[in-house]
Amino acid sequence: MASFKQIHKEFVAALLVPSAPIPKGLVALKKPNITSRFAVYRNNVIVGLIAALKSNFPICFALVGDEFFKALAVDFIRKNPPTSPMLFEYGDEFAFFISQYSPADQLPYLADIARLEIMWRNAYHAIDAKPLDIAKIQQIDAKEHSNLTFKTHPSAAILKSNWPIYSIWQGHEDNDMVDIDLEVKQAILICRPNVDVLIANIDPAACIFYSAIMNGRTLGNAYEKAIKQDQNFDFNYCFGQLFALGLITDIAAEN
Amino acid sequence: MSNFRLKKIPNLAGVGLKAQHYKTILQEKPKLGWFEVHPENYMGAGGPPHKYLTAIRELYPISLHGVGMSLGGPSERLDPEHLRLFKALKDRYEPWLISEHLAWSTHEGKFFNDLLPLPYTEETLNHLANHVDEMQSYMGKQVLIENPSAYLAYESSPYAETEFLDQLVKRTGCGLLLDVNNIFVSANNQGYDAYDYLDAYPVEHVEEIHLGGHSVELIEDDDLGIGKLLIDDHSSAVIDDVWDIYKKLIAKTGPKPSLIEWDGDIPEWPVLFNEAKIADGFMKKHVSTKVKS
Repeated sequence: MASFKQIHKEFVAALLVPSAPIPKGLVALKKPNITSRFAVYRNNVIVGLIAALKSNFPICFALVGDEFFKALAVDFIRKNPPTSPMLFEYGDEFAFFISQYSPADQLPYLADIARLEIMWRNAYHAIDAKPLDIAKIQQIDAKEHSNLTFKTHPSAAILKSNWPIYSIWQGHEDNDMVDIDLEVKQAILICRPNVDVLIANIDPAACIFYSAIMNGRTLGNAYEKAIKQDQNFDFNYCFGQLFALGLITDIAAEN
Repeated sequence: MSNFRLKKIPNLAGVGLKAQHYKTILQEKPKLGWFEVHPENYMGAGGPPHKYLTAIRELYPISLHGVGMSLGGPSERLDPEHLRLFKALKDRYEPWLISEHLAWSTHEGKFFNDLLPLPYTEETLNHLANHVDEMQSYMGKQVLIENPSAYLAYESSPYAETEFLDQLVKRTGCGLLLDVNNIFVSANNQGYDAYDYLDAYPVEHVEEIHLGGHSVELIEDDDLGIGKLLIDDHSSAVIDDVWDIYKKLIAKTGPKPSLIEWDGDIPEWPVLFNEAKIADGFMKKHVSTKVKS
């Protein structure tokens, strides 16, 4: 009889490839239909992993439909089987895979939507942290504000895209995908201060402002970079949003 | 390290915890013995899964039922990262029971998300025993091992499954989780009598029982023509034939923590809760019959 290691090797070789030969030495009843029985294992694996991808990428699924998603998922799974039993995080390579997947050429925004869904999931499972109340800042002398730097929330992330990713995400939330202008480029800020994952559509100046804050720049420096991008940069609104979105968890330093 | 004190799982029914039911459970606080949790779903750093599990753990005892340790996998040692994450959950939530499967799911770093079959040989037994030892010593706790549902078996399998499990207990001091639906599914699929399996099974080591639903596919086998192949999909209610085996089992073991598994087409809470009440009913009946006799 084949060794323990050999048995596993043969079994695995046949699992993800329907045309591969079925391992020898398997039995059931007297003269069983081994092919149909082995197909249950093949089916369990592939159906389970398709379901995991569907659950992790619900917007991609809604955009392409059942049949297309299944074909895409099967190709992806064969090339990138999960490397961990934590299936809620399965699919880190899915966005890149979609960007290289020629049947999806007609949907050039799909890869960025997959990126958004990966970021959403990272935010959902990120370590918890308590957002700082804006009142803490208001207690500090206004003259000192420009020198402040902040600790930002572990769930916070920014995604810039050449496609209207915020509108597509919002359209999926509202179940209304009509009238999305594909010429628009959007960036989003994601944060999960408490239970819900929040997503904000941010313009280029705001994107620069939030990135600078997340990179540990002073409030004054972040403002200067943003106003340089857009002289109409709305500081008061974006400053309020830092707290409304729960992006700030602490004051890092008063320089 | 934990905020919880160890809380014993009573000899009552429990159900597998599903995200769909978090809010109902916390609002209604149903009268239920315990919940079982798949640790793989709670291995993220934070977020709602931990928030809800913490709140539920404050009300109920829990068990951690792993599906990804791959105890029957071919590697020398278990995946250290997976062990670490599992242990962190054990320390955080103080489960009364920890269990895993007599199966494998990982090969050379790839996870196949199914419980795959093993030949029951001396080599497999040594290998399994090493992995169970490793898991138990890492966790600092006894692990219960569950019998698989099978669609095929290995021709060269000198041990019967029941004997294999008994040997595993003797070598490692592990306990057993007996899945009654898996007995029924495997017995049908491999053409043996479920009650013969139960008679041969070392019931004295059973610390937990699983109950679940399965589906039926038609299969054309060469010797039987069209026959039934049972698929262990946990997507429906427990059928009467499985309840019958369960009754026979608790007649031997007495009441034990008994879990309803429902993982696909998950029903509304009352349906799942009712399944648990059926199991409780059988256990209660068993006790009262015994008192009378």
